[in-house]
Amino acid sequence: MNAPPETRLGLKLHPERCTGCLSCLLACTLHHEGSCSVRWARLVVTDTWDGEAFEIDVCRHCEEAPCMAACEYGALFEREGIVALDRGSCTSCGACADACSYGAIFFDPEEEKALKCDLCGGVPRCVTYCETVALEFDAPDARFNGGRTEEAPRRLGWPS
Amino acid sequence: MSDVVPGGGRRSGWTGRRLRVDLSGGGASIEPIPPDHLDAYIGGRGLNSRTLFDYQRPGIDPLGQENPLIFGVGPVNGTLIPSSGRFTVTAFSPLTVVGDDAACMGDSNAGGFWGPELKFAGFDQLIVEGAADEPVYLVIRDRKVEVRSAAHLWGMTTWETEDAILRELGDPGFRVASIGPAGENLVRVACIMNHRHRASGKCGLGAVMGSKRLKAVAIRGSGSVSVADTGAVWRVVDEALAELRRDPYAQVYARQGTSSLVRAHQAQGRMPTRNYQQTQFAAWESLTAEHFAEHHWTRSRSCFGCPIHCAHSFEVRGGPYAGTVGEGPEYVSIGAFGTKVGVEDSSAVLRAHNLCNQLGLDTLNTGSTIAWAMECWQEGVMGPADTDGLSLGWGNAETVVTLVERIARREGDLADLLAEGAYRAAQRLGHGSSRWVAHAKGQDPALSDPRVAKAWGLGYATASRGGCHLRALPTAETYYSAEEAVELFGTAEAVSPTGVKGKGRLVRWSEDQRAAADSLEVCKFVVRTSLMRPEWEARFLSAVTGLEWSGEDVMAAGERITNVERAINVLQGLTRADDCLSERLMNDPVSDGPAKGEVLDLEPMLDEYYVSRGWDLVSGYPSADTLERLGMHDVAARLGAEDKLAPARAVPAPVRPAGVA
Repeated sequence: MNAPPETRLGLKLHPERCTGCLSCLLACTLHHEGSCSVRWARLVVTDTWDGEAFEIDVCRHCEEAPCMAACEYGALFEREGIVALDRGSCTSCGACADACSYGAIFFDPEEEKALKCDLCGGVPRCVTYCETVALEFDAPDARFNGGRTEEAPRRLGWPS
Repeated sequence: MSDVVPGGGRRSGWTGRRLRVDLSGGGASIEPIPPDHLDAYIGGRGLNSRTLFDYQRPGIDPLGQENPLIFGVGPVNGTLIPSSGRFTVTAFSPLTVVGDDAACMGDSNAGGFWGPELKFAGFDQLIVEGAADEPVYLVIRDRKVEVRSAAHLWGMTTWETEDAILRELGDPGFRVASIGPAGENLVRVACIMNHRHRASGKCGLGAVMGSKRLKAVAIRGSGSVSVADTGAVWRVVDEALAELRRDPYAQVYARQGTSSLVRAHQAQGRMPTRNYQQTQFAAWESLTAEHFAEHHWTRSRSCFGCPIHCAHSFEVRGGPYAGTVGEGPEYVSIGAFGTKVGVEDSSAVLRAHNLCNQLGLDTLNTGSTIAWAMECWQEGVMGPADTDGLSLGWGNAETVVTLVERIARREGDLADLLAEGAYRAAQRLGHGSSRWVAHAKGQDPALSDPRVAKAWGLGYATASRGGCHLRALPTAETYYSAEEAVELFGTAEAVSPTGVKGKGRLVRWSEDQRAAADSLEVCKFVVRTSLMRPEWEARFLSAVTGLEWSGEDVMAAGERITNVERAINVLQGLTRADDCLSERLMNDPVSDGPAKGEVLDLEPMLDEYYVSRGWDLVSGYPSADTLERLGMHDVAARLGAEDKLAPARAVPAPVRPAGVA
């Protein structure tokens, strides 16, 4: 298998800090769907039970995104430095998910169209609501800090 | 997921549906839940209790087909509201008793991930009726339900069951609640487990599931929980998280979980030791949170949507129990398999605790029953001829671990006796051994010595599911200042450790607030903080459901829930005489430690509690005007028909205005 592609804007992941609460998924769906669920989220947290560790799968917004290259319908494209998705153009063919090295493209349970991270337009809600800072986001570009100027909130306790 | 609220507007949060499955061949049906039940009892525990009320009939056998097993979730389940992932399972209890040893109402509340999955599948409630002829398990995939054979799963541990079902269904996204051998063998201290480590432990409901030959319920839902006002949800979550990050209790629980209580209880002289014969455990330092952190814990873990992550993965790295890997232990398990039975070895505690989770035994009631047997041994009422070769000396860790395994399978005469729970075992054994059972209504109320912690003692006595520290969880006693106590409970004495006045009102207030939390199905560890004020629950409910809730509305709902549970128990034969603790927990003076000499003077507190509730001081029955004030006309009518409704009389004003809509 080829080395995973370079990423530029993606979230920094610290799965060793994750406690598996899934608040990131709930914040993700509340932001994107206006309701809460785990099957409509743009990221997935898996309890591997293996060494009691969790796995976090979410888009890294690759430099040369294989998903974009794989999509024949123009549903995936670059916009302001992120890999964006037009769900209206998605045909549910699954080529993007097959091409993704990070297992980071999902399909909704109703229409089975692609779902992927869009960094919430610059303020990823999964980061805001992760109490153990297992997800971090440092936007290199002012466009992506969404005007969020307050200091990172102090989080609760061990193990962070 | 919304339906139209009478008078216009949208109603979110609830699904408004329940799934009813009759294992005796009646099939499955999906039905609407009466909206007035949702408004009045919120959901989860409250809705379940109102549902159980309709199943009450004289002589109901908790292990018979007529006992329903009801699983319920609340309106905020599955949302970003902190720690909104719990569920309640409800039935008549095979363990707890009222009146003439009739079944008490029983329920048990667990975290994990199973509850929200029921909601995502589209239901607020699952009612299992009847009993299957052969072992079965339920598969719920959104609105589709399937009854499958569990012949190949029968006999498996809960962990093996969960793994086998996930393999069989080919989908790791399913959430599984199951029983182990203990539930199958109708052990009265059996629990229901989900996500391997999350227990519905109280009231022996694993045996009810076993009596239905229902091995497991597997759920996968693809739906979403609608919220009425996303802006309000973001705001209240932000503010609640900010409160939690500042709150000293939340901070301690985030690091240490309930095991932090070992140090506190030892210092305050309320640590149940050797079946409550003492309050001080000499080797307590080998069972502290600090000890577990240094020797056993490997990481923090959370239940669904919880910022506090009070749970810990652990590993035993050496000694006879090396290789034991699991999650925990809660303070209750440390007490049950440590201080209460005199065991000093933290590894043995973890081993016994893990076995309980796998075999499907409640750690608290199992440990308490073993502690009672050890006192029988100490007093010479049990000898080597009665114990299948085991030595029941205090602190014998090997015996404790062996007994846990045997009780789950009723292996041997002693284990078969202990599988009945201490209360029934003592009745059977005789020789005055009932004198040493620490219980209220047949259940050990947990691990704050009630002779020392007065409000806790009252809460144990009045708890509607039998002895229990979580019905009241009167942390208000240590959380609020004297000024706040005057505001909330009418007197500063309510928060004085040795006080009597105000405890009745404090426990009543706490019970109503906790009943509401159990019915939203948020964790009490979130609302034992500065979020304890009911205005927080009101904000959660308003943001999610779109209906306007005030703190008074929340407390009125909590009061209704407490009253409908009271009504069930009254119909089962409860009177004031049942609202008490056993001799050991009340009248034997504390023998050691900083609280030496203390006893629990229950009656004056109970009087104040009854007056505050508007219940009859002599019979303990709810009064007509209390139930009418709460709009519980159907419940009042039923009690009246059975001549168990106290006459209307001048009832003192409620602690907080009822504010019924």
